[in-house]
Amino acid sequence: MARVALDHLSVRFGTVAAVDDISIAFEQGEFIVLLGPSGCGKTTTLRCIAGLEQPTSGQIFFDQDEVSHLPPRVRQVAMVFQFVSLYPHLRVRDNIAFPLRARGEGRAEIERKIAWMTKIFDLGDILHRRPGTLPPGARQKAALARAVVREPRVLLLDEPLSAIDEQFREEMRWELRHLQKELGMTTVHVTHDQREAMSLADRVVLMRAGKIVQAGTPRELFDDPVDEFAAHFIGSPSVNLIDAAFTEDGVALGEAGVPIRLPERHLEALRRSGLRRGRIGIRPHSLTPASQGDHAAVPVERPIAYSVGRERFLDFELSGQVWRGVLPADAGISLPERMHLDPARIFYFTPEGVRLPVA
Amino acid sequence: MTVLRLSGLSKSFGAKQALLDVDLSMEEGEVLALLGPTGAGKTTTLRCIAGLEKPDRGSVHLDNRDVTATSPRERDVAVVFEGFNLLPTLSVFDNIAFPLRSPVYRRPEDEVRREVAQAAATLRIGHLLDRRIEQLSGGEKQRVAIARALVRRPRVYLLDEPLSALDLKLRESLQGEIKAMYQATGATVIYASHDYPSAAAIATRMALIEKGRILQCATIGEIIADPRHAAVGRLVGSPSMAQFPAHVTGQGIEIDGLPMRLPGPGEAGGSLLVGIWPEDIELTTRPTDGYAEGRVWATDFRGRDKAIEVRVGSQRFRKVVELDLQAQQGDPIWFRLPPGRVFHFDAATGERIDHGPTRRAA
Amino acid sequence: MRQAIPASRATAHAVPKAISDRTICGLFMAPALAILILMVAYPFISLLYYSTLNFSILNPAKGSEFIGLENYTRLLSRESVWERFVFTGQFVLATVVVQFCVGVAVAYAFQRNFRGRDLLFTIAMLPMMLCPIVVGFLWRYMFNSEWGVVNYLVTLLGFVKIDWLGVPGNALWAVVIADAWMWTPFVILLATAAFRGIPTDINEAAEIDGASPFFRFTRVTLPMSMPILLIAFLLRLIDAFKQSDLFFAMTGGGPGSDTETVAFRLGKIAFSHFYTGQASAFAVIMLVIIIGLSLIFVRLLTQQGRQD
Repeated sequence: MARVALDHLSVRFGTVAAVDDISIAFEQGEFIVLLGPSGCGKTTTLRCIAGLEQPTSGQIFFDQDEVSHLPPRVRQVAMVFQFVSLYPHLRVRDNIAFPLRARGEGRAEIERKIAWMTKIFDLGDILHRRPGTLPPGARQKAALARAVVREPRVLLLDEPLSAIDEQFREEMRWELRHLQKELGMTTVHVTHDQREAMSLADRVVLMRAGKIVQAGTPRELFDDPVDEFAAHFIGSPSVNLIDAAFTEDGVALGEAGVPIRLPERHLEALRRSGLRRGRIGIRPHSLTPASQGDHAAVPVERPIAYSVGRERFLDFELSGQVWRGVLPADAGISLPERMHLDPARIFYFTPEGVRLPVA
Repeated sequence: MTVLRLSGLSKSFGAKQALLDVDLSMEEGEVLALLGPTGAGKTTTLRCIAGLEKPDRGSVHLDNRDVTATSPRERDVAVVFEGFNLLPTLSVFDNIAFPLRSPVYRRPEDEVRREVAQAAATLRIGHLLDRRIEQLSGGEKQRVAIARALVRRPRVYLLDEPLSALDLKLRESLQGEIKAMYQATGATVIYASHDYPSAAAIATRMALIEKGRILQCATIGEIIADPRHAAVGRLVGSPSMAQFPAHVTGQGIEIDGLPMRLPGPGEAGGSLLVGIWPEDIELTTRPTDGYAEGRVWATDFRGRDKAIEVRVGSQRFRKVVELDLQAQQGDPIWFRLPPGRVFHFDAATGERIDHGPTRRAA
Repeated sequence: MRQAIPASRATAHAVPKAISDRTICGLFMAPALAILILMVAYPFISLLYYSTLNFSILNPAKGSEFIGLENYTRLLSRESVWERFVFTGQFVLATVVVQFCVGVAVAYAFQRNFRGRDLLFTIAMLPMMLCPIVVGFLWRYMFNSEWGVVNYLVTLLGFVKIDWLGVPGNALWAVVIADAWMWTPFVILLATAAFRGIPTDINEAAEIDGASPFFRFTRVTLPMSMPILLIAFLLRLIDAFKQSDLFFAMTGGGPGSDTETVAFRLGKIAFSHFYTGQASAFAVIMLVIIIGLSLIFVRLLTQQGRQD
């Protein structure tokens, strides 16, 4: 297991900077998830760590060793790919043995390690089958075993769950999370699925256009996004967003200018920014039915209520946009006329989308 | 009035029994979710209703008319399959207009234009009408596919996993829109899915299907208060019902491998499955009398809360807990199953074997 | 409630009963089936028929006499015919082995990215596109023992000139070289397609797994390209078995008839001697051998498919 450090890493394809001067360190045993929309540079970063891509500039370290330009073969990393991650012509056990044989390990040693993997990944039933005959979940489990068996310095996972049927994906997520902690392996996992990132990561690295937007625990990203992109990308159901005018005693939302009164602390922060307009965001779970005389509330138009299990949601229109809030489970049939915004949970953004801090 | 009625529908493919005695009826304007795992018979049911498959036994009635033997064209149902089935060489407009220009449903062109515009507006794709299909994103394609089904105003819509190809965020935004659309048009819809949250978000009633059999058909509240089958518990909820193999001793019910005893029948013998909704399991992080000790096997951060999986020997369950609960992977944790909250299922058949407590509807 | 249904919907019931699916399937397949019968079945059956006759196309007036399997027994009891089979076997084995060793190696080299790769690849494909007779004469000149370029090179290296085409043993190798020159490009083409068909992920996975290039080639590249390589092998085998043009152009079958292949001999029986009946029987024997070979390979392929 190694600590992985990226130092001013850049990868250019022609004039495009796929990875643009990023510096970050992953601690030993940490589960890191590189998250972002397609084309954000997360996969290129991963491939640089693997040695499949050459950095244009910058360095990569495994512990004290610089590996920036070493070929993949000698880096002692393991990688699981999105689609074809097993050799289709080999049985599962030969797939697992492959990296060991490639390094010329002895037969007894190989047998011992296959037995070890079989136990950890519970592969007894599928050991002698070919990948083509396995369901996708089992296939990725075998691929993971093949990656882990050689005890790599870093485990790299390139969207390993996204090709799996959704039903099995959740199970695999639980397994992956458990095994990573169990094995204590430094792991870098790439995904575009924020749900997966939140579920798996010790630390999420949110990327966009080759740069790191925010790196932190899933909870930090959820509760304290640095900008509108981060707020929107993380969390489901999505954060509610709307243009707002900053007024004397609060904000006016949307074209309709729905007024919200804010605590003095917030007003001061907005005043300090010197901005007249911006945007605000609030997560659905901080949007609840308002009581009488509530000044931090918005009117509910064209409401649709629905339940997911014991949770009830309310979709409604606010100044032409669909907003989503929550209803208490025991709220009965009648729908609220106004919904309350929890001021402590409002995110304020500049028109460019940068978060305005509220002391 | 009853729009659709299936009675005793059975269908087998070779040795595989795809459907067995499926009974189902739907009122006008109802949205029914057909929830079950892959291969449970959801698609076969829809195909029988659409007339793409002939049942071996049983009948399909649409508007009290027996249509079992008629061809798909004569049934007036619309199907949206998983994947899109759009014609890539045509524009969005032409794709949506396609059913209105087919020989069976042909309409005058100005009416076509009006209907297409209306369907497009409902699904917020009005600005895309001139685009070609290949220029669209996944979510836009799915909306076009739904608009194409919508434009014909059939008696019944059959949606076969229409959202499962989309990612979570898109799925959630479309759920709301689909729901709004049905409320606006009063359409009768069957929504087949394996995904409980999306089915729950869209449907007013759920039919749970497994191995070709309908296990229960009721509202979500009714299902939670009174699950008829162990498999129903496994399909419903997120996370789904916790189930523990157990056996009946002279003193009550003992959960296998746990020092935990629940009240049960007097005489000994027989094994059963004890089920409980995760919300009803009581947890504590300190050793407590009457609680069994387990270990946190893994955790799952979900944003506002987290789920944990607890294991003891071969027993396991998942439950959503507060973010602040001290429960990291490997930590010990103590839990209790309140006797009044459990359901008993036959270990072999999965059928409910007593009527447990009546519970509040969610 | 029937009245409530709009008119457009009611038209649904006016649709005429469709033709059954089976009939439609049949109708669609009929033209293809007819062509197949015309183009394949008819010639084959007439071939079988002629092979049982004592008949010459030169002398149709003489008529034809049904002689059963006599054409076959007469052919197969002749030692010179068996010798042709042995010679052809040697030729096929030699040329296919050479083509595959060279072809696969070159195709593997073409996997690397280097300047001018595409141009070189196109040039490498050229021999395959030439007419066999032209290739034959080209090589015949090059192998000319007096002024051919091959012997020029041989003397440059300090050896004595070799009589390439006049000695049966040498002539076999001369034609093998010419045939391999012409058909190795085909193997390169298919092997390249096979190698490119292997997902990049697989190669990258192997690289990350610490596999050396040789280990990767033998454990990943080759086994994964096997289905396509097998097909190429079968095609080359059958084609080589039917080779006669090159021999016609380069040796004329000589000296004597020592370098006649089976197909060459067949041509002679049919179009020099005009023993049409006997030639038909000979053709049927060749066909049986080729079908036998094909069956073995089809079997191999389906077995491979089943394992996956």
